[in-house]
Amino acid sequence: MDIPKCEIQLNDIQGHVIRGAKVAASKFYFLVITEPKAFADFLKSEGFLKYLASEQKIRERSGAFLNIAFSFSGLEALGLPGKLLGQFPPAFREGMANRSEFIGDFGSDGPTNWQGYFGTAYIHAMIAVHWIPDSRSDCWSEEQCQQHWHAIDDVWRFLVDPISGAPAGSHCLAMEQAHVIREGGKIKEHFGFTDGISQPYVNDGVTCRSGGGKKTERNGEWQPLAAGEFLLGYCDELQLNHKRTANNEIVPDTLIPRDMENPLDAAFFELTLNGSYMVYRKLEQDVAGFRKACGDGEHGSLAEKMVGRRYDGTPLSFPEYGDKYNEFDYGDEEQKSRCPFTSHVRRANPRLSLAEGPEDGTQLVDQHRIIRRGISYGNYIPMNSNTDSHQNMNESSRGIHFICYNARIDSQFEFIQKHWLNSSDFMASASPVVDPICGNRHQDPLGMFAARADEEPVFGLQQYVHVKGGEYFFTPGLHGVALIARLTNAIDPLLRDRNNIELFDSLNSDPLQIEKHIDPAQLLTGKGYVKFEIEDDRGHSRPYYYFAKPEDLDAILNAPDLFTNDHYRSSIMALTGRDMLLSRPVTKEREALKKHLGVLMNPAGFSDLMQATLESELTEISRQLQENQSIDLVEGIARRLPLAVIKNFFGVDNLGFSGEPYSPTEVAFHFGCTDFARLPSRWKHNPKAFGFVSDQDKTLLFWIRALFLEVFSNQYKIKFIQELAANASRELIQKMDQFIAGKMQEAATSPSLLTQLLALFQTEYGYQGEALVKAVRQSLLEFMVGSTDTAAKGIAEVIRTILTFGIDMQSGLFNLLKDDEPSKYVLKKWLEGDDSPESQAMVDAVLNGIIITCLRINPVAPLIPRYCTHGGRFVTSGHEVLDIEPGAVVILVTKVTLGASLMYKLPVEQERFLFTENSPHACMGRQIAMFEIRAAIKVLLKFKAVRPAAGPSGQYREKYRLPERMILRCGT
Amino acid sequence: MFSAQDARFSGGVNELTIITTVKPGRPPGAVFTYLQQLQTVLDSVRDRETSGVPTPIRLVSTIHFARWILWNDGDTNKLIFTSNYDGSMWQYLRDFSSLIAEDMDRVWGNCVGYPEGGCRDFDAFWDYVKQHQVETDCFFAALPGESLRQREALIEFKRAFDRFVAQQLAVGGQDTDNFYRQFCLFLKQNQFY
Repeated sequence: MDIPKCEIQLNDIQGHVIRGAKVAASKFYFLVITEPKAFADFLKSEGFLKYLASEQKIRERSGAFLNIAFSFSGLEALGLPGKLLGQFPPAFREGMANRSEFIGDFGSDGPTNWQGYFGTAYIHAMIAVHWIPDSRSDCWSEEQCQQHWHAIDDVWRFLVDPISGAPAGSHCLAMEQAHVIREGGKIKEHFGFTDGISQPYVNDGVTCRSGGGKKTERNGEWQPLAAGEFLLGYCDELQLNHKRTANNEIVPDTLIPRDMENPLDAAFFELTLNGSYMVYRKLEQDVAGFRKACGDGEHGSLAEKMVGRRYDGTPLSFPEYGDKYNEFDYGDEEQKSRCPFTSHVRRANPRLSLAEGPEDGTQLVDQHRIIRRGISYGNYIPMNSNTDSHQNMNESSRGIHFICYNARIDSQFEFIQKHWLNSSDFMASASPVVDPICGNRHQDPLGMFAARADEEPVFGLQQYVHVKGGEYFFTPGLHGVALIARLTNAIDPLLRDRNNIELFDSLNSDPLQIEKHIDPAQLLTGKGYVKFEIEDDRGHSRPYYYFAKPEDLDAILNAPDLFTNDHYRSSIMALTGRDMLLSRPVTKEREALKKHLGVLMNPAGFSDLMQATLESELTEISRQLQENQSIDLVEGIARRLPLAVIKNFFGVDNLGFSGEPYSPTEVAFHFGCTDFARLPSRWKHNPKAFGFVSDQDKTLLFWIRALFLEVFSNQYKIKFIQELAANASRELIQKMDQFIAGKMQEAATSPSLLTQLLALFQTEYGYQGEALVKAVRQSLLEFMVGSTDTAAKGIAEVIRTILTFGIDMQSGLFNLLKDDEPSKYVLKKWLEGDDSPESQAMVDAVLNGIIITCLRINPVAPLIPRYCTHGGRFVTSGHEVLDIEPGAVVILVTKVTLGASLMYKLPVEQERFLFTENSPHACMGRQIAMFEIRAAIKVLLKFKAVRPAAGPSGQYREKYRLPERMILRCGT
Repeated sequence: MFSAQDARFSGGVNELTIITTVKPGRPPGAVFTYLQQLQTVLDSVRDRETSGVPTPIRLVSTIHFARWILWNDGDTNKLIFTSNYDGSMWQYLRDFSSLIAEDMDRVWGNCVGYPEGGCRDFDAFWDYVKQHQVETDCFFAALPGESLRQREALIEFKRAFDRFVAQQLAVGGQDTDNFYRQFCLFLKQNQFY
């Protein structure tokens, strides 16, 4: 049959993509790009271009060559125009880790557990250096492998910066080395099967390749698949079909006709032409487990059934034709019955298995094919070795670097993975019959494999292939690489947030989402304030003023008569029935009490006291990190330190829960309600069956959070939060009063804040009995509400901010310090283990500076509201005279960094806006919070490579503007 | 060619909603208006399904539900289409393109802006759908992990099981060896489910 030739541009396609090179060894370097410009220069350098071979060139030589590929976050890091990046398809943009649930990587295979930096947004590029040896061997010896790797090392040394060991402008986050296994002249994978036989037959200009293509009808010949199934810019199968029906004749398989008028389309076409998407997965193979269960001796045939080929490569469906045969198609009953439907090779490429009509060809398969370029890593254990060596097998890991190329990740790699390997849908099976070789057995505890419908199934199989990491990359053509280098544009990370500013609409805009409407840089320069009016549907309007200049913030906070905080007072009164210090008018008595309480919160030996307070929690955090190499920043660290303060410093250590820790309102909240009594009975009576978990600590934190939300965060006056807080504080106050009354009976043993408050109110103010209980309770509540969630948010915000500046805590800190060499020196000394008191004091000072900077970028309270109840005149620091209307809202904007105006050095007297004593937050807990944040940073600095976990769990999540979850990982 | 957002997922189940405008007037030389043509196609789908004759929609074996609504908003006639299906939106639309292209064309060919090459011209079709897609803000699926194929298989298994029970009860009082043999046979025949 005459096949229309496809003119693909072999001199522009990277080598080893569309046609396999005879690679024997590879090393994969996973890079984070730290300086885009320098990295772009590297991409243009002669040395790099010398080894970046095209498909055409690679034919002509042995020796070393390389491939380069970029992840989506890598293209972002290089600063390619956003509109261009927006053209990339969703799967590539999201990355493998974020698609994990969808394609079936969950449980122990989930990205949270992946090795090193795999799956995180830090993996920007992958350079693979390959080695093609001069001669072939029937079996590569250990020595030969080492020689090949050394040869690759030489090339790498030639390419990289000698100090960093990575290309200029980047760091190497991981290196993986791999070598082809040869045994008896065949390429093997670790289980012992001959590998790499079946590849798609692509219309790439080379004819006469057997099997692996497509069949348009059952008894037709194998034809090549469209090049556009694997290369971007060319017509794929669907487009060819379309052209065929449109013209009613077979058209050559060429470039997609493009509307080059549209500059964006033209640019994207140019960028992606001759490129391909590369899917990388590190798959670890449990050879001992596999061979023990199904590989040895009499069970040998079970392993072959699971694979669908014999160990030597012979297809089970067609054993007559030998071990390299690939022309079979499962087209007749005999082939079908010989090869199990659920076997690996049949699922991964079902050929005619899915054809429905007697005439049908492979139409249902043609759009789901991939070119495989995998290569094994780790020592090979020959099939005939004795069981002793099976025991040694566990000492080192082995597996395969799965690599495949395709033009549409979601309908090729992902489709095969989700629908054919990890699901039984295509077999119309209701039980989880996953691929016996590389399916995720998480949903299949019985470990079933059924070879034939009339044969008894095997049970008890495990999962023998585990995902250890992976990413979606884009492998551009040579021209594409040059274009990327040309388009590279270093971006200031702080500028990234700055979105298009929208006009404020008085009827529909949200006055608290001012980031959408104001460029804060504009607030810091020029007139220094912005005024909006919000209007309701009856035409009543209310002015909102926004200030960000530190001098103005200071003046506003210091004019409580003009700018009141009545709203705090009303919610505090409503919830607790009494005033707090914060809500009282400024009188002599208030100032005296404030002074007394200030002393209690800042006692002699504060540092030692705090250290002792947090000690056990910090030890526990260290232990967890050590043991699991992962921790939740929010629940595991940020919420725990304030809890330790409540228990060990404030002395609220046991609210006397008897039996089951239990707060009905907390149960209601779990179901999204505020009132336990109104829950449906089945939820009320057995909340645990619906995922409700709590304990004494969680309940206490819940109560405090509910109160906090209503008093400080409910600027929208949401009824749900009002009711929740009312019900929660009723429970809390009852418990607190019982608890304090109990403490009054006891002789004061420990010098906790609680006992000192009792003494203070008794001796200085003469309170007795119930009055004393209430006074102490009110103060304690104020401390707890003011210092728990703010401190937790402070910890979470500071640490996540540091992590956006580097690949781990340490590099983030050093990058934030920029050119501040003295501070860097202090930090370095401390990290090297200098824990003398001087070093501690100095490092604390450095960290304080860092914390301030981070809180400027992501403040605990980005907006602080004040009410100008009666109206009045205010003169700004820019000497503007404002006659502020009665009822106006004045918003202090502490997040001042969205513009280009982050000043790393801030005068000390202005720092306090970030975590201020005067602001309602952290009323008197500023130094406690600072201590907690420092402690959290320090404990994380003790571990190497602390970073966000890969995938969705590592992304910082908030609920009600409070931190909710962010999983951190450490180690390798 | 591509959009940032896929549709809203819940587990393996996905959704799609598109609103398009029906062409005003009638095709050159025709008597039926575009609206009438469309109405006829939809009526035919409905009638065939209610009378038990399968429609081409069944060729796409991942569709749980699909509905078409013709709606007059005062000025124009709109065609609202919503569907729930297994897998990714991209794949779902490709299935339209490769499996039931003509049928799709018969419906949306009556709408403004539909690609001239019909839905086989996948890039144009994808653009068309993305332009008219209404993004869902909240999507609920009671059994997000279960595909249509699996549900069908479970139903089939339950039928087979009931048949087996009925047969055994009908024979009644037999010895356990025989029952065990029958049971093994049942397992063999049904283990794939």
